[in-house]
Amino acid sequence: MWKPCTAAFAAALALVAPAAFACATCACGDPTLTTMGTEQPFAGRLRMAATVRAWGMTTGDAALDAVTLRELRMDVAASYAPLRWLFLSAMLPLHARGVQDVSLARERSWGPGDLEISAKAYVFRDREFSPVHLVSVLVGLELPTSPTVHDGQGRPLSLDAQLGTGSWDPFAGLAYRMRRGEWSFVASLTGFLSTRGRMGFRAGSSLRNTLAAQYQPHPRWALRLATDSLLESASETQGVPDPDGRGFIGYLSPEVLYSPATDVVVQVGVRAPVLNLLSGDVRQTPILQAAVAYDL
Amino acid sequence: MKVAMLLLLLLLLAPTGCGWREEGLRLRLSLAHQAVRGAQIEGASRHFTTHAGDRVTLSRAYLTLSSVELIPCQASSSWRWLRQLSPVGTAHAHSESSPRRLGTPHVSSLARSDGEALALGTLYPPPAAYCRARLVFGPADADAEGEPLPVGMVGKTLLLEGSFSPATGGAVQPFTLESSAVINAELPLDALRLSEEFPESHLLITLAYDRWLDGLSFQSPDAATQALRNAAASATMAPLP
Repeated sequence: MWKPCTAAFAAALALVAPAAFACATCACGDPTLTTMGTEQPFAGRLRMAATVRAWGMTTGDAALDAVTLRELRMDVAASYAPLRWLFLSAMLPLHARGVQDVSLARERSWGPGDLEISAKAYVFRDREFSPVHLVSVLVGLELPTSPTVHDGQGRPLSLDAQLGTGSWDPFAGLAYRMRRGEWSFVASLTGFLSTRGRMGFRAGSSLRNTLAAQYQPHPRWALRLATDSLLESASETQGVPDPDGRGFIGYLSPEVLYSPATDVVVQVGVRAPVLNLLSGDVRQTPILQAAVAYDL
Repeated sequence: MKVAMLLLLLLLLAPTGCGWREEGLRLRLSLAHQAVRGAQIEGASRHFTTHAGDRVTLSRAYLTLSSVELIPCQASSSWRWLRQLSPVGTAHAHSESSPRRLGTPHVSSLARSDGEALALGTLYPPPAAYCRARLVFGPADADAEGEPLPVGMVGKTLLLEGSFSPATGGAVQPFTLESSAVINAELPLDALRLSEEFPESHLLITLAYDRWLDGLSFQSPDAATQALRNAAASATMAPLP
């Protein structure tokens, strides 16, 4: 399944490449290597990215009722700035997921998840060109684009094996970005409101926070250290709350950013769960991630 | 132009999802009743003799099995020790289901033929060797399977109606025994092993109804509880091919 997707991605890149700018960082006056979503806008900026993540999670008692989930996920994202203060983005996750329960029953699923669209408005910048301080407001919506996945006999897979909630989930957030010499900092807070989706499931509403510091000693590479946290309310199915998984989890995320060519940023890192205060017996593995972003 | 290209890209990247499932370990549970000493059957009525020689006619009999739980062999020793501290009657009446526990209450009735199996459900337990099963008999709730509406077993664990004639002679006397007590029973399993090599099994629980009234004094206020204890003690469990 991945080969057609990769081919399509490459084909689309080739199609749009002739309209590319020579140097995106030159156009905004900011040489900072940026991950997807933290870049500066300028009118006409178009950026695409693919992020691959590998992660896993086990809930429950291994000798009694454990369910283990493993996932390889690729987020294909595109951002376009029609105005110097506005970024429009779309992100489609592609999942390959495996779920095994304590009885050794296994489920595998792969396909697209829920498409996310968003608009980010830069409401404050301290100066027109090469700003130091940037404040942005984000609004978006997660769309129920993931199909209900069935097994070979046409029976729907379990909720854990489905590739999205299949619900309309709005989100909104606020972000601040600052750079000073070789250093740059990002702070963001985003709230997600979940609605009821597939199989009567409603994910818990959540608040996600990122605090990141980046040190860039060279134009081609940078080191980034972030803390990401998630505060989530209880999810429920048909009105019955899930006792597991609500609460707080915090990650420490060291990353390396490297620019092998103009307008290309490669990012490799890990998100290690360092503070797990989630209810129930929920154990998450570190999340390995690699991304490439390209300014067209 | 760029926006159109992006839309095209998203469409190209949106195949439908695919899924696959492989079943895991399964243990089916069924419940039947049988007379071990022999009984005469007339419709839903059973005529039999207690071990003391009393002649009994059971015209109606209902028993609620609240839950069935598998106990792995490695837990059996400590479980037996705990059982010394926790005698019969202290079980939870309402238990939730889990991969090792079937928590849906079932009302079993002698209206079924002897030996006819009532499907209780399927457990999906973790791989292990299981040495015991714990049965809990407790009051039926509104969600109990097989709850006979005209009888109204909600809140009741046992309902027996019939008549008996004492072995010592005398007139036939009617009786009705009702209990809402909670009683558990632990049954040995002959090394039930569930693993990838042996992924499926089927166990039949059999209740010997002709032992339920053994040693009972029908005039005793404790008669219904004693009958319930006898019913729990009459349970046996065996694998079905």
